[in-house]
Amino acid sequence: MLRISRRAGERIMLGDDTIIEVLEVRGQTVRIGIDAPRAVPVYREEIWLEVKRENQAAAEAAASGELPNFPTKAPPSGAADRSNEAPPSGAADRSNKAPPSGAADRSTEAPPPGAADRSNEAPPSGAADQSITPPR
Amino acid sequence: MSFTIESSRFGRVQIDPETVIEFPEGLIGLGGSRYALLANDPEAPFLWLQSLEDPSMALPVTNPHRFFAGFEVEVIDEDAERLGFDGSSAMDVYVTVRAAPALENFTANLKAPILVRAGQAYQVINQAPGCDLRAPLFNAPDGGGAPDGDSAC
Repeated sequence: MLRISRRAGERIMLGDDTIIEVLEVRGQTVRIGIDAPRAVPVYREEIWLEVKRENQAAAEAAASGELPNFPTKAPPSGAADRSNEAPPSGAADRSNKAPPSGAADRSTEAPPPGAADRSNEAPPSGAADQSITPPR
Repeated sequence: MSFTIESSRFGRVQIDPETVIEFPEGLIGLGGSRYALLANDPEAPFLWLQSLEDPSMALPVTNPHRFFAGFEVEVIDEDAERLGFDGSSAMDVYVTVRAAPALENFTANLKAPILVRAGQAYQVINQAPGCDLRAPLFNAPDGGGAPDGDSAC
């Protein structure tokens, strides 16, 4: 790892486009400013790491073959409004949120392992040409 | 024109180009730039993000609004600007699901939702308060992460 000593107000260039500036050093904390091209996402490492792990875990849990049967029935009360749109700002639109009243119905209906409702599960490998329809 | 892929999970799958989503930045930490959003049944609560580059990579996702009544997404200004969110255009929201042997242990990652618009998707860090990395999907007392004070999730 490249090590560079900097004082507050000094900068580091990553290539021509990315600037890292030490804004302030106070006790154990360093405030850093980052000026990166728009296309470069910037994450705090610990958050990046936990999301990465969660993504991996989601993929691995799904691949492990130990999946119970996913419930395939939509909650009765939530079925009507499936627009699944949310403003990025987190603002108003609450219209498509499933009312909590529908939740109890689906939470307890998991069939015992190996039971009937397997429609959402993977076919045995080698299964022929399964067509999966796009969500609408 | 649809095409066919070999998926480790689903075997041979016919992909409708309309289900293909580009992830310019990939999924955080996982990469991959093209996935297809698959559903066995349009009404099913869980869908699959199947990588078109890695046959073994498929993640279950769901619409968080179906499970979490108060779910909201807030992104930092830099993300909003970078991704071109101006608040005016509608987008779909999905969250990854971590499956478990028992349904009550299923969790959804509300901290890093996937925003999809016009065939492009970005996984973002959700700044809304109370959005857990592993929010139980089924065993919350009221059936979901209903709003709890200032919590959006």
